[in-house]
Amino acid sequence: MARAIKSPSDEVVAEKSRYRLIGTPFRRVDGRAKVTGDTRFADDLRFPRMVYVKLVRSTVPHAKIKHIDFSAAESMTGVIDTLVGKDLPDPFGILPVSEDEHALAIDTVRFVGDPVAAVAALTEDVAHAAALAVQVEYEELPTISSFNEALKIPEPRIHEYGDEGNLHKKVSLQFGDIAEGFESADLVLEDTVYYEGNTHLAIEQHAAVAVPEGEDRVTVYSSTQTPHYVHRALTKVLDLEPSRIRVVSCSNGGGFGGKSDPFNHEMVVAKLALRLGRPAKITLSREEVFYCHRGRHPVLMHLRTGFRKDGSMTAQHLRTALDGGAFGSYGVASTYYTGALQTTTYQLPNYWFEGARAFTNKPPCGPKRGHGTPQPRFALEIHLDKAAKELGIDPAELRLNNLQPENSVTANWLKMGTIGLDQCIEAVCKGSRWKERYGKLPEGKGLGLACGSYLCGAGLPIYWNHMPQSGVQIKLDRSGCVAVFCGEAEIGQGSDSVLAVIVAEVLGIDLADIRLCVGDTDLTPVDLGSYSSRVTMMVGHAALQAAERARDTIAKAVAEHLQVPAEGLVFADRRVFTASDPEIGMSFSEAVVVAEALFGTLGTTGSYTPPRAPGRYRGAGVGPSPTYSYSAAVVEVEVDPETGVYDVNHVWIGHDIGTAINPVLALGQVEGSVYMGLGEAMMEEQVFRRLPKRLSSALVHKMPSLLEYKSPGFHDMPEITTYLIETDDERAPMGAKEVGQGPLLPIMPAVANAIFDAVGVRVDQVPIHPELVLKGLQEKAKGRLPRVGPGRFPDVDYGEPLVVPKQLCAQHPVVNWLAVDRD
Amino acid sequence: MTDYMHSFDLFEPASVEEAAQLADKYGKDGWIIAGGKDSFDWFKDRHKRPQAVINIAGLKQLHGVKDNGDHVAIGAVTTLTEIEDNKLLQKNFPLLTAAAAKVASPQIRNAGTIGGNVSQDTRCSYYRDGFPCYRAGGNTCYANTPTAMNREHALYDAIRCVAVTPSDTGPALVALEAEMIISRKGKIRTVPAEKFFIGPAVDITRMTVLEKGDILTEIRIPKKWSGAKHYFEKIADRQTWDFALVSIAMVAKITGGKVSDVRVACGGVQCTPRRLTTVEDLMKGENVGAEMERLAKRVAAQGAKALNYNHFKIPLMGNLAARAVRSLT
Ligand SMILES: Cc1cc2nc3c(=O)[nH]c(=O)nc-3n(C[C@H](O)[C@H](O)[C@H](O)COP(=O)(O)OP(=O)(O)OC[C@H]3O[C@@H](n4cnc5c(N)ncnc54)[C@H](O)[C@@H]3O)c2cc1C
Repeated sequence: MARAIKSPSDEVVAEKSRYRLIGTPFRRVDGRAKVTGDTRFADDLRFPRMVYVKLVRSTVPHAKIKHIDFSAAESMTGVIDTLVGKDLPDPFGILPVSEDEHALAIDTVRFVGDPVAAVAALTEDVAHAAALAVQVEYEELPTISSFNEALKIPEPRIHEYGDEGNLHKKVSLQFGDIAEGFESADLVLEDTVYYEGNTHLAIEQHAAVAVPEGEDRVTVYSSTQTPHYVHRALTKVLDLEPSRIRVVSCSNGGGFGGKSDPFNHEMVVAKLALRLGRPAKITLSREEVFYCHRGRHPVLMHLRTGFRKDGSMTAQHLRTALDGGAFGSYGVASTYYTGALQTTTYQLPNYWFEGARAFTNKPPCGPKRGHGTPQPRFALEIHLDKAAKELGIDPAELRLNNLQPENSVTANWLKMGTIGLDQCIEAVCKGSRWKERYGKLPEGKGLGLACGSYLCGAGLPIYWNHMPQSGVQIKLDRSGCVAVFCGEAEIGQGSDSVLAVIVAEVLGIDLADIRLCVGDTDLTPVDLGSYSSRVTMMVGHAALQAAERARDTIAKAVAEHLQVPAEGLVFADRRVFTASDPEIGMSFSEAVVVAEALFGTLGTTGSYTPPRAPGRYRGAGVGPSPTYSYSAAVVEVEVDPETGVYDVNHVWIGHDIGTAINPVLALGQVEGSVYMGLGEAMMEEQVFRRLPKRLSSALVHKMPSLLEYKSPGFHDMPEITTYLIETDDERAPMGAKEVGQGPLLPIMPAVANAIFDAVGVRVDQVPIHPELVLKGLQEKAKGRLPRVGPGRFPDVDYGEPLVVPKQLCAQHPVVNWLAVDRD
Repeated sequence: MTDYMHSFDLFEPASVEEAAQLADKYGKDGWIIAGGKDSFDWFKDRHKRPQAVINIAGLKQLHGVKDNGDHVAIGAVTTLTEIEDNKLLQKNFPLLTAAAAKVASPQIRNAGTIGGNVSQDTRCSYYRDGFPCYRAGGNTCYANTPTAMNREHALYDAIRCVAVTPSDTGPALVALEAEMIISRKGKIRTVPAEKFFIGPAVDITRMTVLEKGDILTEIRIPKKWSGAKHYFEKIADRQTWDFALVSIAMVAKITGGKVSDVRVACGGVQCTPRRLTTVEDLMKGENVGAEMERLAKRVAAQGAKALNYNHFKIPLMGNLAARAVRSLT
């Protein structure tokens, strides 16, 4: 059912929910602490004898380190210790295939901002002054600033590994029969599209505090989305047994993917704490956060698609070129992601994806909300808008007619779950009165439609293993308090609330009866972290299992106590009672007492591993998910033809969330996505300045500051109407899909499409600055093609394509897809 | 390595005289702050590290808006919010209140002063980022090299420096023929707004006639333009917390359908607010209407020289001028 929500106070629950708590808005469990300032973020932590650490960062983009002179720094009162690369010689990196980072550069720096050394001092002021006083002598190397330069300049290499020269990764995957697909097309469209890089802009700057304990033991508190991966990296870099290291993820003041890598500063404070035997703390400045980056890759794309007259696609060839920055980070996965989810919305029988990622001397790119998907989605959705125009089909119709069927397998072997995209499209069309208004608004006003689809958790973990991807433990005792332990990391998205409410729902208790212990690698079972929209799916499943086991144990004891059948017991309203006569029963805490008396100390566990995906080719690991979320958006814009300035007046967005566990929290995620999406569409860009050669060629940020990195403000936000579409997917806990990333995807292309409807100008790139619209209008006035966007796509040798055999029953439901053989 | 202020001595003088003495005493090592909204950026980025900071925000003498008969006097430390909300100014010079209301964000306007707004330094991102450019005493303009990013930069009078005036109130004050009252060691001088702002040809290291030791005490706006028609528009990337790409400020008097007098100035296109005298000339004595709009659009950006990335400012100026004219009908 589509329910329109405009504000949290709107009546969000149309029909009675199947559940007691789930589906009804509730206050998030960490809400009160957040608004009263009780939440302790990493930077709020202070310990006796703590030292403050600052990093010395490279001022040149690419160079050999000749010499580091600490004498001025060391002579300052209060400076306690310094650290250089060789103190931590082991490399690390989030992906096992690209462990190319060092806590501090060993002998080469690769971007302006690359950490070279660290200083520890008694106060932050002194540490700062000392870091500025460290003199580093460099021998500069040629600088690579873009994908094209990386392609042209294979030597010197930024890294000694990678597919060739300065290309880090190359992929070419062919699904189906490309030639035949294009032959059967009535129309072949080509587009070259550019998506500028941008960054997460989480309000909290990264911070970490390391506290030593006894001998060779350290606890690292950090603002991280992935405590487990930080734990692994620390083990490697500190050369300590995993059991000696504890990582605690403090509440994150926003992450969006920017805190999902293990970072230099975490390694450095841990090392200093161990070496000095006293706590060590670092808080990055906003400038440094821009250097940590791991944000959206700038991607140039070329798309060639065959269409039949009815708008269906016969084949598509997508080429992507990613500017990866100086390190691997999640880049290999990002590269695959620029192609992987191209097939999940509309039927695409034959698909050829080629992607390549280059190393450049810029801060490393990585995962930002939507990881690798917004770029090709932007290209695809504006491409479809053009096809619709060309074929004379309404863009909404074209999409609705070609939807990927539920439970099908795509050309690239992704297994679909429920698909509520039709309902999403219908809801936003109805809300925006699309049929009456699209193409018919007065000049200057326009509507644009676009869709998207996203993972509900990546099918595979970052490193290969057979263990669960999420675990939950529940401890119950005579107090009636239920303690829930889980390695998940709350980054503001509401994962704590999801965890608590699922347990409370199953046990029939209140949220207040639950005590959470999360994100602590010593105390909580492993969860891989808050990325790939995996938490509700995976933690949810694990919590459900643990809670059901606890319920069953208690039911057994209560049944024996009351001499009633266990199956007939109900857990609700903090009581356990018989369905036939609610008077026969006891309070929940009495029930726990009965169970504890019968079975001894109580505790249960739950875990979750996603189902195996059907794909059996190299590269099939990126893209699978237990199920997928869907979104559609209509954006209304008003363009001022004299300035090119445009306002987004209204956004209608429908999101297939499976089940809304907490509709208000879901609404927040959708609106947050719209906000971030509009930023990327309209103005956000992480851009760099290259200085002329005679001035060192330094490649630097255009002012790493919140003022210069333009992100929209309140005044730029339009009215938003959200429709939560519930398709209740059986693969998901309580039927709940993701909502953290998917709703971002349709926004950027919908804005571009709306501008076309308003003034007939195609801007094939983001961000869409007003001057690009103005330029398009000038072209149009001169009778030229009113298109603004990138020119030629470079000649990239993607290598021999891997030809993946066609799914026999592609496009049709596969009954037992788990039974497909694995080679 | 920035985001962190150096330590300095903070002075809170009790009178303009005392402030002037301090400013004189510390010379190049001294720095006046009013709201601090421009200054603190410099300090936090560590590109300017004065030893003595002299805070004049508390000086009552420099605060408030007064009707002095033939002119309205605005104290230099009057905040932008106070200007925006001032009834006297709203009635007489809505152009200025409209411009003040477009500055930055409410928080910045609550602290930022009119004196600081007209005295603020340019926002060229190379210069602000500490590059040793001409303006900073070096020997290159980083914003005008083949690889430079200069979408925000100047169309006019770019002599070794392509920076533009960032002030929103500047063009309004130029249009209104305001006068700036400057005190130096007890001596008072008066400078017309148009001369207050200076370009790189005059002194590449400054944006205004103010030199170390000078204090801007008051801004006077003659009643000449009281009640005139006005137009202000600012084009920026976002609708708040952002500097103008191009702004336009106009005051005009209409008698019998004809323009009897007019002044127009643009921000964001030159190091100083740029008077559009050709537009003024073609308007004076003419009937307001489509023809005037067309001509204004054509001549507004006459003589503009675009850099690599700011071509868009040329049609933008023309269109803004046309809109200003249209507002008179
Ligand atoms: C995020 C941000 C966004 C902004 N956006 C805009 C914008 O959109 N439009 C705009 O116009 N401005 C903008 N600004 C600039 C801001 O409006 C001005 O910096 C502010 O008005 C300056 O006033 P202040 O009193 O805080 O200046 P201060 O920082 O106190 O002073 C600025 C300069 O003027 C000198 N000075 C100040 N008062 C006097 C005086 N009486 N006599 C002599 N010298 C003096 C100081 O020495 C200093 O050099 C922005 C600033 C920020 C930080």
